[in-house]
Amino acid sequence: MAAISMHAVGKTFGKTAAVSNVALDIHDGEFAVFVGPSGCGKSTLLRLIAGLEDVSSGSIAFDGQDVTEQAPSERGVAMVFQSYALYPHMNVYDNMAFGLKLAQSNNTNKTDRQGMDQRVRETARILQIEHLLARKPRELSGGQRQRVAIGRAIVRQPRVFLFDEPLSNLDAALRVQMRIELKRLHRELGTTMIYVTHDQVEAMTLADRIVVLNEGRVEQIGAPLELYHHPRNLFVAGFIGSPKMNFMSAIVTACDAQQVTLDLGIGRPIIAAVADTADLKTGAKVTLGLRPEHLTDTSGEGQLEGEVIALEHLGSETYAYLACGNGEPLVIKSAADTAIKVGQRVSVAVPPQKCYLFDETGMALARRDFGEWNVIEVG
Amino acid sequence: MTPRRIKRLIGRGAFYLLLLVIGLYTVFPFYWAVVSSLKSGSALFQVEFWPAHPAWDNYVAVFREQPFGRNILNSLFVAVSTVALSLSLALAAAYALGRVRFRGRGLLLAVILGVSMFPQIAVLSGMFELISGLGLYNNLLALSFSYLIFTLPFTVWVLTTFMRELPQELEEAAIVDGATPFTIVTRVFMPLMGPALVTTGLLAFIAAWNEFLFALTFTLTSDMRTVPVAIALISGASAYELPWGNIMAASVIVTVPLIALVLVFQRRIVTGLTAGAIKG
Repeated sequence: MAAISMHAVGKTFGKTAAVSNVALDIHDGEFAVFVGPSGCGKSTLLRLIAGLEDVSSGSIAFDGQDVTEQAPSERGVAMVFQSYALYPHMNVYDNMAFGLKLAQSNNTNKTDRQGMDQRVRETARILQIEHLLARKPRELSGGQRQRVAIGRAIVRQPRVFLFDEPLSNLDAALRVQMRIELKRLHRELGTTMIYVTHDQVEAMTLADRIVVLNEGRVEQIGAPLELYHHPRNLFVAGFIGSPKMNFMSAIVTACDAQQVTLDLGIGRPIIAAVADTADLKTGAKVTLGLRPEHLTDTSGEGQLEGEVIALEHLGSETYAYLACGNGEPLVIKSAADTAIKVGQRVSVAVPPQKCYLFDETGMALARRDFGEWNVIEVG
Repeated sequence: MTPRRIKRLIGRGAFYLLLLVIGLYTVFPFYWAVVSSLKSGSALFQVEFWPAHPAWDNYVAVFREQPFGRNILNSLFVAVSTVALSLSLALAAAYALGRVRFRGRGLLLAVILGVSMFPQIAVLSGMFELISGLGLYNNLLALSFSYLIFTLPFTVWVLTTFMRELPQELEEAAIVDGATPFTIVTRVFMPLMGPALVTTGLLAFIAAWNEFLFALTFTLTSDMRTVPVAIALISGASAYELPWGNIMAASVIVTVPLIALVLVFQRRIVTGLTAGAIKG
């Protein structure tokens, strides 16, 4: 178990900077998830922590001890790869024991073979792969291979677990199952885990804290719901949440202490609640963010109106795409058995406390906290 | 019969005829060598497709008239040591050339391939100086050493290509497990490269087994000769007589092990030659 701290870490490949100036602290025993679009540097950052890549600048410390120059095995990390990377010619038992055997042969005072055997079998029991120990990787299904890869990591009792998109090769049902299992493992082992994914649902469900990365920089670090309710900027707001948040440009027409009135150029003026209007002036250009799940069609007079151009029936709910103005379609969530039809005009109510506002540079304006941590749905 | 059917029959007949011709062309010389080796005296000069009185005299004579057993052991030693040397060197080189990024890698690979373009005769005199300088003249080690000239280029190339195909994550998993590059090559990569090792090893073995020019130049005494040289230097009772029977018997003796090797490893060779094409 270890706390990890990174100071001003940078990594360049040739002239391109994959990671630049990342400062980051991961607490002991935490489940941290790195999330971001492909090419954002999340995997590079993980490989820097693993020691598979050398930093170009900055330093990395485990429990206050500088490990920047150390090899992966010296750091005491274990890694689970996207392709599992099991040794094809070894059976499951040998795959799991390989690291232990190597550690033993380097060690002059030999740890007993029995201890090793016990550890492998104990790990196999935890992961319910005892019956597979004699099999070769090619005789296993995807989910079983994944378990073996995780087992190979656990058996070495590392200080830090690193996961590089471990579930992306599994089918949807198995992914959900493995997600729950990983969460359980983390609770049982209590080891620091760092998990890389591009899937924000995985990030939201697994993480104690999420690190959102974009173009090699950290955009925001926070608990899942913190990122959902208080994204720091447009990027985080757009990345967290599914379907994606709707963005519309607007002009402030009036502001008082706790709320502003916005003109979108279409529909009626919208009133948005904010924590503090000190930085806003009448006439300022802002971006309004609205999550689909906060918007519903209303029989009354809503502030926005548009023609339905597409419907997505998910069974439990329906998403409607409205042509509103000439920007991207506005997505709203509707009941599963909604009566809305394509081509119909729909009016949408915008609750003031559900608005997200971003200034011209894309930074979020502080939102008022409406006790959203125990989410109460309005409307 | 419809014309279409006739056409197909003719096509198939032609195909088997072609197979027969190719088969005859490749197998007949060896068959003739076997038949000739079983004849003795003047029977050698009569056209017979199976000798009326097969005799093993020639085989006995080969071993009686020169140290042919010793020659076979020499060849075996030279071929095996050449294979072992070139595979271990090529495996190490393949790891560097296939997995480590460094400047001039492409150029180095091209140079290694370029070495194999020189005809043996062009390097012969220089090689002779080197061998006598090292004090290896009339020593079997001279042959093992000089054969690396033509075995290393293709072993390095084949193994480099093969090693490049192995997934990066496998190596990284081993690094995280605490493996050194040596451990990675010997305990992770080598077992996976079995087919490639067998194929290149066999080709190197055949090349070393058959080599003549270096073997002729770098050895002096008859008990240091390898089989191709020994066979070439088999002589009859007088300068006007070529002992065809003995030569044929010797040829058959040294060909049989090669055929046996190829048959044993046949399936692995095929996988080795095609393994680069499909992901394993």
